[in-house]
Amino acid sequence: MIDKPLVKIILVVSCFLFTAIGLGCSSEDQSDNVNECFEDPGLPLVEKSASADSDLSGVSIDLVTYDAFLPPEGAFESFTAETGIQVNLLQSADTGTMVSQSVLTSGDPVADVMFGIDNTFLCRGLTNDIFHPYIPSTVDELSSELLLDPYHRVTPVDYGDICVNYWIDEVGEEPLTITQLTSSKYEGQFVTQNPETSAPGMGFLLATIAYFGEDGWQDFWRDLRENDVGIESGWTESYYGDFIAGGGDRAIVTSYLTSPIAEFIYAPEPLETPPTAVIADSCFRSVEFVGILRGTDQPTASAILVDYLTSTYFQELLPETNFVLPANSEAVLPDAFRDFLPTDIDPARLPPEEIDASRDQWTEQWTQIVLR
Amino acid sequence: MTLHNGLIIENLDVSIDLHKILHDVSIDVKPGTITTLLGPSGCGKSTLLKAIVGLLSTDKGDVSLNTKSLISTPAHKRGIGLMFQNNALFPHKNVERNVAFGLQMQGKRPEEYEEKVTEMLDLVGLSGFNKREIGTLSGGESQRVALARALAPSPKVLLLDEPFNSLDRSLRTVLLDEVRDVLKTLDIVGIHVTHDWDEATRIADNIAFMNQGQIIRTGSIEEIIEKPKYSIVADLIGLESCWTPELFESGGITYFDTPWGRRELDTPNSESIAALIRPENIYEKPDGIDVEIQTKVSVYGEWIYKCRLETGFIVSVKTMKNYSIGEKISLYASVENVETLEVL
Amino acid sequence: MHHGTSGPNNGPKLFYDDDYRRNSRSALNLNNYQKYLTSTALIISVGFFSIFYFFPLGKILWYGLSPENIAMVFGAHTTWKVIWFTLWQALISTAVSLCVGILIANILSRFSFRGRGALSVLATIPFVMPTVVVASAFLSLNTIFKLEGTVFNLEGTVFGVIVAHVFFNTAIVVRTLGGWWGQLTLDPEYAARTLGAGTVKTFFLVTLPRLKPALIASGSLTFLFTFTSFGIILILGSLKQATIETEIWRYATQRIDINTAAALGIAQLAIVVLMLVINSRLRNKYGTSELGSIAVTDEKVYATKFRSLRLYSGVIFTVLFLGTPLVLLIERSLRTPKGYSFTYYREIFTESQSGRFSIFETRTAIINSITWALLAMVIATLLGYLAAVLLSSPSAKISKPADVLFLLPLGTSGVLLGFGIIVTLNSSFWDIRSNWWIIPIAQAILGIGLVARIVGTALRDVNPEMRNAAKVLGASDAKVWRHVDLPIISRSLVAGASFSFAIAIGEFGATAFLVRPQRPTIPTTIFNLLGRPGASTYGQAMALCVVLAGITAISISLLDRTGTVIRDTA
Repeated sequence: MIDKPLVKIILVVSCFLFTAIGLGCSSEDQSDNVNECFEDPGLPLVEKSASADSDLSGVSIDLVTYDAFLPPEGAFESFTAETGIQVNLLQSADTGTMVSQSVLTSGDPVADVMFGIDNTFLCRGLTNDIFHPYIPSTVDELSSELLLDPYHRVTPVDYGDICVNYWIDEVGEEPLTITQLTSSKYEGQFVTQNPETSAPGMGFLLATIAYFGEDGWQDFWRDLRENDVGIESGWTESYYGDFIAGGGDRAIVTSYLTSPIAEFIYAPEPLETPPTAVIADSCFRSVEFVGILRGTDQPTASAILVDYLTSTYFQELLPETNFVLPANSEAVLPDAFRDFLPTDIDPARLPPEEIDASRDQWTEQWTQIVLR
Repeated sequence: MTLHNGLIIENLDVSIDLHKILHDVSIDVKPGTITTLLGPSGCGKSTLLKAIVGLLSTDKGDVSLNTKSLISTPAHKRGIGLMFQNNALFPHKNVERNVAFGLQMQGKRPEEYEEKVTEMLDLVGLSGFNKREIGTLSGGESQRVALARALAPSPKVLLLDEPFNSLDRSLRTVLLDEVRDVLKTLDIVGIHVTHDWDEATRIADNIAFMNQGQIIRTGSIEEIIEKPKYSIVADLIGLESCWTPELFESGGITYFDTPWGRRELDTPNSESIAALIRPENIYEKPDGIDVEIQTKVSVYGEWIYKCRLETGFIVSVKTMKNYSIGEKISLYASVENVETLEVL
Repeated sequence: MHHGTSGPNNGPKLFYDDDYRRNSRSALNLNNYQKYLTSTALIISVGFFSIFYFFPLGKILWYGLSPENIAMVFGAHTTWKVIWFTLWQALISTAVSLCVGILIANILSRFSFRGRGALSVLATIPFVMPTVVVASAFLSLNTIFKLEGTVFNLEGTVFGVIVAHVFFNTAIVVRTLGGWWGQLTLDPEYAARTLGAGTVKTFFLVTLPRLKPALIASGSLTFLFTFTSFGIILILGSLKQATIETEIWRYATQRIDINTAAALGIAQLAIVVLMLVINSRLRNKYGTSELGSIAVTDEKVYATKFRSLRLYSGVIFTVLFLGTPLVLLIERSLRTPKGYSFTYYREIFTESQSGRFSIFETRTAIINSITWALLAMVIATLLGYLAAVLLSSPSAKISKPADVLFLLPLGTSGVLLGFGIIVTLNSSFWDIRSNWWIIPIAQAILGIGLVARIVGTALRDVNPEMRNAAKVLGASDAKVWRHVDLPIISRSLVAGASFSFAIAIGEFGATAFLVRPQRPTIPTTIFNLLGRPGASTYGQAMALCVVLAGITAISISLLDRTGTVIRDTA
């Protein structure tokens, strides 16, 4: 029997879907080609117009960042006082979501400047032409090793290494190494994150790939699984759910190079030294960039903002608020960072184009090895 | 149509969803009198009430009260009261607030209407029920509250849509008498809808019969009983010994057969008629027609028997004598007393 | 000849007999005012949905609509595995939520006892808790009771996912069912008892069938919530089990592959539409209500031997099941290295603490949260009411599509809708960049369906004769609404409003995929506190969660009281 309302509803839905076809605009082809990542975009550099300073008071620009970014108190107010440019901070979800949104709106961006795209997502952004090239006035002060894009579409703004942390009282003063994580002594002690859902999780996977090589990391993870490694979907669940710091019972966790300093600063009772330490050879270098979004109608104001974000003044505010390290090598670190930041770290580095090309394949393999 | 200061309905047509429900309905009711609309269910009685009160829009015709046309007045400004079939009390308000509702809508303040509410509750015999919740009332109490609510704003017209259907017989008669008294005392125009003849005779001054959206017969109770005119009216007023005989024609005269002989038709042109014999015109007589008693019911000391003829036809007879069911008696009626009715 | 009391003369008689009779009766009473209201409701609600729902969603789903893309996604074995898992976990979660909800609603609506109000609020709180917080409370249950390795392991298991779903969605069942149940008379139950049915048989053969309309209503909502559940699957399921929603999120945000995500979104939408159509049929089959009049009886439950046993075991179960995670939360917010104290609460309300950031202005966050949630609540309640008018329309041509339409957002991927809004409303005409109002609107879209469903059920129960009675007594259309419709639907309207408020104030996911102006709310502050290491930031986050739960509980009790006031002053 043919039921009339059912037929009608199906008709309505299909009408709606077909209307959608008519309305939609064509998506740009998203190719993962390695060669495209650092190819000349063929766009002119943003130049600050000469009469900028007088014209810009009252101009308002939008700065989009990931949701966890904390603006240092008063930082944008003083920028406005200095330049007359108003900055609206727009927040998105995590970095991946933010990049994805920008890819969707490439050329007609939701903001003028993006803060916080990292080296694991960089190529996705660059191949989709979301940025406009610009050489900031501070370029000579920036660590040259962080200047990854030869065409200046993005400018490094900070870096923060992802490292395995451990609770010193539980593990002992003796520094750990990455290979010890699979030893039976630390069975059930280590918790990390799913690289599919978590940036530190991805960072640690990349660290193991860099450390053990393209063909060696799989065995390491098989051993980790044997050794009862804990996998959480996000940093919060692992750090506060499983790790001792949040009342859990695991002593080793994937976190950041600066986490011990945060534990020191935010200890409920003043401490002599941080209660946690990092495993020196487990680190992966995560670099965050700032870039002017292609299609902005305020290129000059955006350029001035990029200059400011990479200036020593702003850079010195970043560590204590966001626990990242300044990209500007002339910026002075706060006391706690100077006292407790490990100096013997040689973080793993993987080229962004390689990460971009193999990311899906690696996470696929990782899921098979660790979860299934 | 006579002009008076009561309710006059002229040539009203109403349709719903393009279906014609009422055709050319005219009725007039003087203040202090009650007209009962009688008709089978679905004949359009309730629709007529909704149209009078303004809840339904009309295609043509007029409704006027005290010589003023109401046809373009919205329902809430007509000042016509309506009692609903299922009482339609507001379950979320107590008795007092239900009764006060109409007064509240007139913009009266609590201190102004309090007295009136108490007066109305006294009138319907529910003194002291002010704060009771609707859910705690019995059927009869609910209907009394509904009556008090309808009367509280002092309407000039009160329409009653089968209001006492759900109540038991004795309570219904009590309430009908009360309503009649109230309407007479307050000089209100009453239109009452029912399909029950007994109820109609108890309350009405005039009766209007409705069938398929039309008023087919109006008149006082006596006039209707005297001359039902239509078989459907005879049915509704309880004249059950009514049948549709076959008509014969011979030499320009139409006639039909009754158990007591052949009867000539008064109106020779009719295509089909119904025949009626009233109980009071049937007598027990030894050489009459043999019948078997099927049911019996006692009314004021007399017995009314329903009897079956050999042809299968049923007649009612009224007598003081007591027979038992299944007994055979002999009945006689004069052919002259067989009445003919029109069939619609 | 057509007349009022006759049967239907057209339409799908076979299935909707009762419903149709009712419809044809009320069709008689559809006056100009109601026609006007219906068309206004149609224009406003459909217009709103087109701009903020259909247009954005259509535009983003278009990315998935190439034949190769569809073939690739639906040709993959894993896709079907994901669809199957999503479906069965949602069905089981719904079934269990209904069982638990029936139990709690029974206690709340059939027994009078001290603390009933508190229990009712307790049943609603879980609904507003941030997923990440509840999930971490469940994870700590795992640790405390050493559940890992047992069949009751909550981490990374389907069992854990279902328990958490039940915890969150019981509120919907309890609220929908409770209001309904308390208004049913006990007469049929008495009748069943005198005819020889025991307590159990009476429940299954008489009570349960009478509850069907409310069960169908709350069951469909629970299904939609669990079918598109995101946070719980991600955190408790640890992605060992993927659902359509988490796959959409993974492809759209982690792999930046919108085409695949959109193709999955089409699959999701198709299943949701199918479920809603089935639901709409069920509703029409069983949805006839018997709530013509409201029963007011002192007697709430028929006497049984086990009356107090039933009451106490029910209360204890409710408190344990819904209360334990909340107690754990409170415990964690009070636990400092120096023993239990209010240190963290003091800290979150201290503005001038060293090393604190502008985003941690707790007071601003609380004010923002409440303002936006109230705004979202007003939008959702107004539009939800209009939608309910359409849902309860006597014309099946309006009510049936409306039934599916307004619930669609609850079954739609938040990621895709968020992305769709960005793609669509990014023109200079709309310019969402600086417009904060897109946030309460996005929060409201989810609430509209809820309000419409809850109010629509109540609106169907307003006896049209009651409106006529008021009219005849001199009430204008506006006054009829004020004195008849409003008080009768007030309970449902308030229930819908408090849900939309709760969704909005606890909301984090739905608008996370928008680009929003940086303005702290309680959930974003909790999230930001949880996003960085340090023992005291964690304690502060827990304290703020308790504050959020407290604000929600107070707001809901206040709203409940408002409902009573509306009723009483009418």
